[in-house]
Amino acid sequence: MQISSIYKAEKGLIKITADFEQQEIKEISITGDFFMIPEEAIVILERNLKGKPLETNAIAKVVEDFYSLGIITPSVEKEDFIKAIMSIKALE
Amino acid sequence: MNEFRFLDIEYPEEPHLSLATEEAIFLEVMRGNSPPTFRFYRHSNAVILGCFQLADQEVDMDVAERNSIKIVKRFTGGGAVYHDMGNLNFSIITRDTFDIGLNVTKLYSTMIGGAVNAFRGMGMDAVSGKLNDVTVNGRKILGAAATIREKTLLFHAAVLVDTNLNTLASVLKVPGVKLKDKGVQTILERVTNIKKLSGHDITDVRKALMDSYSIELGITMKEGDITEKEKRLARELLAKKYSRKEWTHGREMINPA
Repeated sequence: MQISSIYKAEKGLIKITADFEQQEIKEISITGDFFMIPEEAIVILERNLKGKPLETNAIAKVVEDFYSLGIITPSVEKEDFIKAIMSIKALE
Repeated sequence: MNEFRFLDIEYPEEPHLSLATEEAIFLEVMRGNSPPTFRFYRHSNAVILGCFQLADQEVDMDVAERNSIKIVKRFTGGGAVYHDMGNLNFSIITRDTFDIGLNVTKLYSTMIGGAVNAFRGMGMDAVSGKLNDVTVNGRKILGAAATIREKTLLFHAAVLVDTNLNTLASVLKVPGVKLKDKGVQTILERVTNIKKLSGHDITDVRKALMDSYSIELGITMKEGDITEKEKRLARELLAKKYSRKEWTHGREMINPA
């Protein structure tokens, strides 16, 4: 089942499109008008989210580990990414 | 004094090549092969997407097709913009001689000041917004994007001088949630042109920006040319990245160089 959501952070929209089965993320695409440095890192975040259950703790761990690599997202906080990803749960 | 190469190189009908050239210059500056650069350029009729955006989500494809608007993706983040010859783009590409480090907020504040002062000098009450835009009376006249890689900075901006705002508004799909947040109903209430505000044209704006940035950044500008290496790299990036559907219409990250 594919679900899309739009989340508004202070500066930037985070759009999530995800496929999941039995509460587990199969595919996920994170798009929007935010900034991320380095840009290519977005692929790592998407890859690390695959196979994860759609639960706040599990998602927060992936996002926190991702930021600990030194990723910078000006005016968008890691909480925004966590909320953006979790926002698809409500649409299930 | 820090001398910048002033590059007046544009490919109005080839926006994909234009953005490929932007990245080629950035990579050559990063590798130490090219000098710090200040560039002006325009595109005749194109939407430029941020690198995390999907064309289908941002662009009204029917409007784009009917008006022969080309769709291009740049290698920096941020939002989609519409460019015609009334929109002036400039970029500042340099090794980090401004003590920015990885402080992206500082990069924006350092680089946007030159534009704000230029606009004020032309009689407009310009203010820089949260991070990457400049507004006059709440209406946007400049949008910027920036990146940092290996102690190399790129800041580029689109300046609305005399752009067809009706085309801009009809081709860009701006979600209601974003407009609502800014307290406006439509994108037309959110943008305006410098020509309308001040009567100044692109020639005036170019001169004001060059003068202002020279002072703001403490640099001199000397007219220069694109290097053979930059040209070759731009062609390579065009073939392997900018002309490819996977880059422009997908969300694939392509790093051929």
